[in-house]
Amino acid sequence: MSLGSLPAALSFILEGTRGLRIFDYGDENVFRDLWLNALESDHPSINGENSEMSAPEQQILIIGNDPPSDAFAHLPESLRGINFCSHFTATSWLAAWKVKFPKAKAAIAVIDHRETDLATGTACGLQTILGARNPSAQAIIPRATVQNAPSLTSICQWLHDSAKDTSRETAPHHRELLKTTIWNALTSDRERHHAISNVLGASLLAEEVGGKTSVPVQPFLRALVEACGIRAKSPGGQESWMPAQLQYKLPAAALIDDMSDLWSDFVQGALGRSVPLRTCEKGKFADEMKELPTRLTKALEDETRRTLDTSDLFPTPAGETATADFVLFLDLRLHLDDKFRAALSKVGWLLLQSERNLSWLEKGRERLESDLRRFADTTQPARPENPNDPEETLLPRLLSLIDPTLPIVIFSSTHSTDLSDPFRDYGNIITTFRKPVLSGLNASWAQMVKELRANFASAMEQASRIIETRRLIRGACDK
Amino acid sequence: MKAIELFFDESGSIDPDGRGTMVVAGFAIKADSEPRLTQFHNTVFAELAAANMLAGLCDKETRRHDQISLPVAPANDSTRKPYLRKRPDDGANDQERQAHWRRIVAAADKVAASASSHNVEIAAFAITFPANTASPISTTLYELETLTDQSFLRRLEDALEFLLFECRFIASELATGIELSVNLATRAAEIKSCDLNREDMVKSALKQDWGHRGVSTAKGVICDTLQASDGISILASAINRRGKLWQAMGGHVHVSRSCCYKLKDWDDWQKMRDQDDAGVNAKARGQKAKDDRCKSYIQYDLRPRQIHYFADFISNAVYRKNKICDSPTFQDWFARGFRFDATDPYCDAWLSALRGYSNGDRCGALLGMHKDDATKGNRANTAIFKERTAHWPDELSGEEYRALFQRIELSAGSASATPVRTATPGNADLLVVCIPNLPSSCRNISGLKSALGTLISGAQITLGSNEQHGCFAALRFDTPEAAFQAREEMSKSGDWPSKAFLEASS
Repeated sequence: MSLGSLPAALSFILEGTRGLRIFDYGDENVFRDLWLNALESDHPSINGENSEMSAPEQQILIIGNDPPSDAFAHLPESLRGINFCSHFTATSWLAAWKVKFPKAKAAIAVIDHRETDLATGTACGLQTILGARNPSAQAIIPRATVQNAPSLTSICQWLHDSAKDTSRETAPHHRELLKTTIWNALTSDRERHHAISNVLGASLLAEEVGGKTSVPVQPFLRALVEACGIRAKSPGGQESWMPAQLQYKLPAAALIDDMSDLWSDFVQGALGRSVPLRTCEKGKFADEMKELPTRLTKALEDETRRTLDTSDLFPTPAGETATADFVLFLDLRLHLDDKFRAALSKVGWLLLQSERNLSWLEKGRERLESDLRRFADTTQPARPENPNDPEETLLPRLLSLIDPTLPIVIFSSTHSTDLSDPFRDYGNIITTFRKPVLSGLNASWAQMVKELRANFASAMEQASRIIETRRLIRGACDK
Repeated sequence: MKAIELFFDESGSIDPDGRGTMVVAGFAIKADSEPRLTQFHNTVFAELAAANMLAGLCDKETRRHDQISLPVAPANDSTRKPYLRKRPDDGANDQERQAHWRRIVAAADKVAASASSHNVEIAAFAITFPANTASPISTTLYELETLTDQSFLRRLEDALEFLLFECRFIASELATGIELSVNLATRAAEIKSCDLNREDMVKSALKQDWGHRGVSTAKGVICDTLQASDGISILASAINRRGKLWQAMGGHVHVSRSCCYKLKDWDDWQKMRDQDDAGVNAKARGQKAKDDRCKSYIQYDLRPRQIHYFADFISNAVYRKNKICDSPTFQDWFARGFRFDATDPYCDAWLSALRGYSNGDRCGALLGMHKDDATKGNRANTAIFKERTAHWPDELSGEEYRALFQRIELSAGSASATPVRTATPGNADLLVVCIPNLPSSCRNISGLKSALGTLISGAQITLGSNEQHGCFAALRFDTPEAAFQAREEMSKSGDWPSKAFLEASS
């Protein structure tokens, strides 16, 4: 049976059952209403009709577990590798709803036409909890179930049983269990580049600074994390994270991040709207960055230049002015190809052979040479994503050497000390502030934001001092 | 070994209450060897003499004062003086003034031609500075500051220091070794209109406290401040300003001479002779010739090189902003030397930074410039100084860059902004706080500690200092949460270290 005809068939069969509503989860409107309306109110409008979720007679069958095929189809380039579907199954929604409305009396079943063992990721864990029973053989999460490839009989049996089981509430520790399962799924595997925690962090933090990511998935994520008890500030506020005493000290900023579509809103908001932020054009990160080694080579070959400006990092259309004083937020994992890696290695050799004052290489020259030799070898097969690979640190190190007064904030979700170690000798690389690591729910979100904000202020103070030095040296020494 | 000779003179006068300017100027000549310079001097003298362009008495004249006579005018041109005059007559019209300066340019052209034929290079220099330049030494009687001439001597040392260590014409030769000769001009400082009682007091203090002899004249008190033997102390002072650099050069520079010479131009000589003839300066009318000033000058004073008079012409032209400075010869000479305007209030900050840098305090040099806003100086000056600082970024070490990042002040009043450095990983209960405005040599450490204690409760405070970070406080709290809370509080109140310091100081 195709999934498309299952809701219609069930509706036909169960027509007239009092309080029963059947939703097709594959329907985009239903999907949207469930996530955006039903998690906000106990009498939401779903698919054009109001549902009374607090009423004991309300029974709902959600047919299908996977989101509509088009729900996450039109994502920006930076989000395409992320499996959003696994976090927005009907099972996830049901779990989120049970967390959000523990006293609601409506009984809800997710009818998944597939066998149990087909469920993966978050859905699998949640389904286990939703299917678990206490010693009295009662479901530990009352009036909620996920049924895989159920027979009509078992559906009817559940409708019958759940109609009688209206007195129990979801126990607080079971709610915590659901919450933790959802949150852990969102934040696990955070070191992997295409982890949803990256998106989540960007989205939540953007709201903290009064911004809002223009990513279509944001409202759904927001609904999900709010169910976990994390409530970011309401959008619309305009609160920069820049300490008052540093206002106007940073003239501009630039962001190099293959997920800059996501993070630019937060960075801009944190810096304050008065600080112009240069990023790659949306969806053109790879195109704009592939010529970066060429631009850096050109800058290196001009012996009169000691500093970089934004036109050395980004393509600059004719007529657009380059900015000389800026703080660079630089992600470590840019996912550029081997050709880029080899070209960058050439820049490194050119730099080592130049007459430039490589101030940060008083000790680490051999290490850099060894890294460059390794990265220049394009015959090596592409390596798996490894957050601790020093290759990721090559670009910041080269930029730091070319321009020792360019403040470079390592803006990575990688918190491994293996990665901060290569930067130890590089005085203009700032590792104080990084992308947040969303982990267990034990630490409060507010506390985490507070800490991030303090780290941001500290990083910006360091950056301001470096820029002040940059201006001083330019004023004192540039002819 | 290359030989370099420096010639100095000044124009204008120090006036503590005035708004005018003064100029120290001159030129340097450089040749492959000292004998070559001697040949050059001989040629210059011969050529200028042949062209009736000698400017005054010099070392080529006879030792018999009574045999020295003014150059004789050529038979076919009796209207023109047969020598280079120091200044045109007071009543001279524009045409005559222009003719005067044209002759000087013509003489300079001859010098340039001689230099070229002897493979000698010439570089001119000039520093204009405010006549009310403050004396570095404050004296009990304000007149003594003028009479001891400290303001001028400071500028003279500035010029000599800059010439030796910053002017590529000379500085590039220092490391390989040179034979150096410094020719300064004697000088007298003068104060006017003292009443009789005060004049005696001033003269007495001048003698008792400063070892100078002031002479009363009809106008006031005059005092010789630069005499022949003062050349070496002036040179030593200038060199000591760059002590570390000088030591590092390992004694490659051999100083063959450093003296102050009395420039006696022909008009002055004639005037002095006339006065001698009239017996004006004799202790008693009809007294022996030993009291004659002319004889005294010839017998006791060192006589300059003929070319030294060009230092006077240059300083006077710069002082009067005369267009001869734009003539090709002078432009060529200045291109190898320097010319800047120390009336620009930022000039001293640049000079101080250059000095600090070459003495090894590179960060201090840059930070001093930042503090004094030196880069706001006038464009012409800044361009000259930037020629000297252009290589600095190529020499700064990583440690020096780090120190700059740490110590630079963001702006007045906000240096202590967000003073909290990072809590070290694994030590979340520890905050390290830099106190940028506090000198690392702060004496009242216990006072500061107590003041910090009143501002930050619940922390164990350890104070320390090092070169890189200046003064810092390590605050250890009972819990990471307490440390975090304290950091938040500190971030809100950016100026708390200053408050602590003030309390400690009081």
